[in-house]
Amino acid sequence: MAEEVGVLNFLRMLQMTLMNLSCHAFRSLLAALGVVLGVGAVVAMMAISEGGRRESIARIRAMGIDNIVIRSVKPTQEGQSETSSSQGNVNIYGIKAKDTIHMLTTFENIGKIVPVRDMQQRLFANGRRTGIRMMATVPEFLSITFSQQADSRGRWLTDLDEVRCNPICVLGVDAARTIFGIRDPLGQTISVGGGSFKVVGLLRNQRGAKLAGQYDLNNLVYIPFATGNAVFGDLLPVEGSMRERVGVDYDFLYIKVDDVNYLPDTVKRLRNYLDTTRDTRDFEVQVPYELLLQEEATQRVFSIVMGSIAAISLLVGGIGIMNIMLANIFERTREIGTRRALGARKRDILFQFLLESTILTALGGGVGLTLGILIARLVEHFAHMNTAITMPSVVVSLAVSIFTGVIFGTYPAWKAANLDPIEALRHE
Amino acid sequence: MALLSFNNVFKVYREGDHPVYAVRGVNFTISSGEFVAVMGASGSGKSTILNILGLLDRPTTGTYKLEDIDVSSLDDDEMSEIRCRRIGIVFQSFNLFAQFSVVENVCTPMRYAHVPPAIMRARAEELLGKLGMSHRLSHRPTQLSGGERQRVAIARALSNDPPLILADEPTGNLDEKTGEEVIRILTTLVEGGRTVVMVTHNPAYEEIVDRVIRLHDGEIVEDRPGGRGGRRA
Ligand SMILES: Nc1ncnc2c1ncn2[C@@H]1O[C@H](COP(=O)(O)OP(=O)(O)O)[C@@H](O)[C@H]1O
Ligand SMILES: [Mg+2]
Repeated sequence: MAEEVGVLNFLRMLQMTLMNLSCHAFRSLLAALGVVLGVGAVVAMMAISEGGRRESIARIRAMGIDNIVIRSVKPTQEGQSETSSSQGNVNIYGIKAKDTIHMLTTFENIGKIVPVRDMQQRLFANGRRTGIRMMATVPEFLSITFSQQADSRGRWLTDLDEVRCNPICVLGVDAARTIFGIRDPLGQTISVGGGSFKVVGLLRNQRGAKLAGQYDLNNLVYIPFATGNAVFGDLLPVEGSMRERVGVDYDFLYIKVDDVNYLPDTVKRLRNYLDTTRDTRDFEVQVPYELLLQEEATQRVFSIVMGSIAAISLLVGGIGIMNIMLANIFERTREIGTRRALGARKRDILFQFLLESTILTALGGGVGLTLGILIARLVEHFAHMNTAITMPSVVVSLAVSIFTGVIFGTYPAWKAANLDPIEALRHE
Repeated sequence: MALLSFNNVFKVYREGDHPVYAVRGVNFTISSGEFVAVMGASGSGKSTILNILGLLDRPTTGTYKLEDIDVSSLDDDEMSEIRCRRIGIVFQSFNLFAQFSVVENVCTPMRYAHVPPAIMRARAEELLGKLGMSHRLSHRPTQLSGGERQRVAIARALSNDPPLILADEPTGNLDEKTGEEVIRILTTLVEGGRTVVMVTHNPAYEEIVDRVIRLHDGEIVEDRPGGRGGRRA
């Protein structure tokens, strides 16, 4: 019963506080503006950074946390592997079949190697060249990149495709939409660089997931590895150049290790092997696990920066609140004296004004939160960036707003509570 | 039965170097149910005495006993508690809360007495009804006339049913007719058993109170029965 009365009284007090604040709605709004903007900015930035973090983690995940990814890189100008022939310049570089054989035979921790070859093609859609590229790879690619089939009627590349060099392809969902629009891609045929490939399936991965951190997995066309070699040969023409051609066995290698515990060791040995067995630096080793650690470190720095901005803006907001509360209390000195005369204890007055400042900042925090979410949505919509509002960011921003109200409201409320009742009654 | 007593009460303010004696050596005892008018020229110490009576101020020396409690022994919270439950104060300038309705104004002291909300509202409406303000429950004070405002203020002072009502020039801001109405209300309170101490300048009211205490320069120069005195034993 007593508790019920307490709750009811509190609700009534809340209502009265809101009435008090609404007396000076505009002024209250201005006072809370600092908190609104502070919380809004922090929530929006947290949403954007969280979106970015999730995207990069998805990207890293797609590379596989227990994987090592090796990318063949064209050596800088002085590359010695450039040979001239009658057909023009031929660039031969990158990871070779012999390298993979060496890895599989001498590295006990390497269990599987999934090769990918960039067919140096850019696909056309509606007569226009797109950013869609064609990759040749093997069936294990699907699982090692955590990709999925997007259409249950379709299928992924099979071992049989490899053996038979079947002229088929699987499209990333974004590529499929660009090429076929709303038409059903399955069963259609696409023509690329003189070859024709029947679409047998669709692949989907998380938004932002990239092939070796480079090409969007959803925006690629996949053909069987053997088909690629059979159709396009060993040497591929280079885009935008008539004379140049490249000879790369594997553009990307996904290496799966058996035991993640030995991953750093395997990476070290692998780097050492590659460094010592070639004359030019024509490879790049990416370790998703290391990238993840880096990402986390970056995130920590970002959090500290964000935290500082939040602290400063809330300090500014808090000073605004303190200011307005002091003005409020000065204006309502007579009311305070009257309340004391009617039996209010010091702590009743203290609580009244503390509640007022806290509700002010809590409302400011609420409006700021809404503003932040709105900004995040706008950024997502117009800047095409991923954003994510997390529960902790919501809770923390509201909690910090309330905390600000309590901290910066305490001094004015204390001042109000300790006014001399008679002086207060004589005020004005 | 003595409700309260002043025993050699002094109140001294410091004005720079020299002291200002607002009240000097005042003695009186007020019984339950008395209607007392405190009179005197401006600056004679009336408000100071009323503030001490209302536990808003303490005597510099001397003792003030209210219901057998020596007020000097009380801390701030205890004084607030007594102000809340045992004393009702009415001001010259009403001091209503402009942002709240009439009912809310009347509820304020009950809020500080932790009266359950349902009872609180019923009691506020009942009091306002008795004072003829039923038709103004949800109005704002600014929408009321002076006399109506003072009636709301009286209802507010009565909300915790205190035995002692203090009024510092309650008719000071009212015209003669509405002033008389307010005095009539105070009289009915006395008839209901309450004690009323009122500061006034109007000599006409000497006839309707039980007792007149006249001050001059902080001292009592006259303490005699008023016109209503004969009706009391
Ligand atoms: N806070 C104060 N500081 C100094 N002097 C005061 C103070 N309050 C009252 N006084 C003085 O005390 C005297 C009595 O004041 P007051 O009780 O208000 O008189 P009244 O109500 O009879 O007009 C006056 O001379 C006034 O100037
Ligand atoms: Mg006075």
